[in-house]
Amino acid sequence: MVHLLSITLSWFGTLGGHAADQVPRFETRVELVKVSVLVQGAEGPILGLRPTDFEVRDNGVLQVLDDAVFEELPLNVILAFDVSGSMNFEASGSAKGNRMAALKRAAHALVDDLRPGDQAALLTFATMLFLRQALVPDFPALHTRIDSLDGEGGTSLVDATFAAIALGDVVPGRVLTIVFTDGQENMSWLRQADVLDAAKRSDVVVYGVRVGGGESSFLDNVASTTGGRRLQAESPDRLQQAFLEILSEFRTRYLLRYTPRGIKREGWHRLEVRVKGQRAKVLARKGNLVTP
Amino acid sequence: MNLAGVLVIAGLTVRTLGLGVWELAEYRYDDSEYAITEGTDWNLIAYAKLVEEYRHGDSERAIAGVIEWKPQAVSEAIDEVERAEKPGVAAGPAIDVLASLPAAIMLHTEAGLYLNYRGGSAPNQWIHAMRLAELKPSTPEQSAFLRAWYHAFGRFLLGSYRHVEAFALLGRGLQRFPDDVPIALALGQTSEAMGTFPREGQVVFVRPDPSKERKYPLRAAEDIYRSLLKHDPLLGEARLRLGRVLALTGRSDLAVTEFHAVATSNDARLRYLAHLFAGDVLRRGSRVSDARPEFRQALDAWPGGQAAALSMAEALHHLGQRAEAASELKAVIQDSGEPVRADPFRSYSVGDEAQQKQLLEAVKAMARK
Repeated sequence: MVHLLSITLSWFGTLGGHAADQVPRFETRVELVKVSVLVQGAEGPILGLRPTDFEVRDNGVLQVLDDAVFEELPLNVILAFDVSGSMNFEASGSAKGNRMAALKRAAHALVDDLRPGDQAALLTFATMLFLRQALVPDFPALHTRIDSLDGEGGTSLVDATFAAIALGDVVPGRVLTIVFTDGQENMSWLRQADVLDAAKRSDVVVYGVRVGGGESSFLDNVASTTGGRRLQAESPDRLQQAFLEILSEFRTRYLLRYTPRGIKREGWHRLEVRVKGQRAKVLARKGNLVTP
Repeated sequence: MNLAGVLVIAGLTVRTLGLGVWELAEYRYDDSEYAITEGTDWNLIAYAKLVEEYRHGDSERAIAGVIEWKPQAVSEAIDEVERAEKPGVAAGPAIDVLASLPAAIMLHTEAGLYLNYRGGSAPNQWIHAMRLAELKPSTPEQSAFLRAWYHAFGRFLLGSYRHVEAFALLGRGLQRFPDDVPIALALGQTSEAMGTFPREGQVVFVRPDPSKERKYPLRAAEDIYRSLLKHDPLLGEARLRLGRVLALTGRSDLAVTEFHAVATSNDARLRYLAHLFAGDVLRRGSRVSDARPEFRQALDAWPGGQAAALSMAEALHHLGQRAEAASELKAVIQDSGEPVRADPFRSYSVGDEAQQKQLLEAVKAMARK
């Protein structure tokens, strides 16, 4: 969430001619905050807004935006896929179809929809986590990795969500994480509360996608905390639609950046983002947590 | 609750499960390819032939055969076998089944495993197996089989998230073989799993007053581990698990002491888990700087341990050291194409699948001798 721009403010004393080691130096940290924002009007996303069109309040204090970037930055997409044993099941009834085959189709379609300059990584989770493909612009390699996926083991959803956030946090630019699962958490080591805290500290936007039923409050919480949302695919065949919808939606998001002023650095920063003079629904993270 | 209390509950559960199934078994035997002579006790003869076929012949055919039987018919045959335990019963099919008791038990165990895999009603078969297991072993080999069977089947049930059934079976096993350390450890592990599963059962950690539902199994586990340690203070697995139960029930300092006692073990798995759990307790107490060396030592004990690396990364992320956090993670999740050594934590609650299979294979082999 917070990138440290270590700005060294050097104060040169007025004692001309003194050696450099006698010059007192003061250091401070100015933290640039990034907020990914989706602005939706009645007809869909509202495009073409400028920094002055936004009003951002950090803990209630109005902030001045450094910029509001739209479309210009390439995407960094981290795909975190559930490959637990249940992914091999043939769903029945209205949710019929093989989940793994549908996931592969959806993932291929998403990679095909990436643009030059975009990058993607593939993280899988079952009983163990694997970074199958680090963040690269090499889409053929990604297709190969996707084809090789197979389902086996339990579901480490919480661990994988943390891993996706932690890996995404060191990537400059816009980072989208899509966490897909078909089941219930049953293997993770990390606690949900700790991962939610990590999400509060993160710049990464998490979108959750579920197929099948079951409890999903963790994924809902992580998604809403990071300014994303959770989509429910009613059947495996709807996965592709969900993935492409997320990618398309993410491309229409603005990246707002500001240098916090007039507020305490540490602790929870409640964020409020609105668009001036327009009736618009704004989707952004609820805030950011700055630890000492 | 003391250990005796645990065993009483386990015994009652076995009986309750059994009665529930038996009372529902209203079918009557009406046909069988094994029926041979009208007017004789053909049901028992056919049953004895199935057991014999399982033991010395085509076990798959015997399993398929017993699955076809109506539960009432099997139950009646087992009634006869039970009667044959009494002195003075002449040689015959019931005595033959008693002589092949391990085969009879495994016939139903395997039939249940097959049904379980196919989504059928496995407990019907398992109840038959549990009932036969109540019979007195007539030889040291049968006794050895029974010990191994309680352990193996109990671990299978635990690994299948059938915690209540595992608890009942292992409890009964320990009641019959009170000196059996593997059964006792498996029962403790099952109790622990019942008190902490699903993983969000970790809420026990932060709840000042854990619900009875979770508290009692954890107390039972603690009693079992303490009993084991009383007999063998060097039993590292019991000490590690005792530490974990202490941690889960809020006795953090005592837990860390137990973990540190295990951390000197020669067993890398125990060392890994001891440091991991100690670090976790310290992290819970916001002692991040004390927790990090524990996670590092866990990784030294078990390079590639994902749980320890995740904890380390989470602590670093919390401190704002994001590059270091990502680096710790990448080191253990990067897919190198090489086989990966499983993280011991992943099998801590419900056991290791490969080990469960091995145990079942071993008892199958014992039954088919």
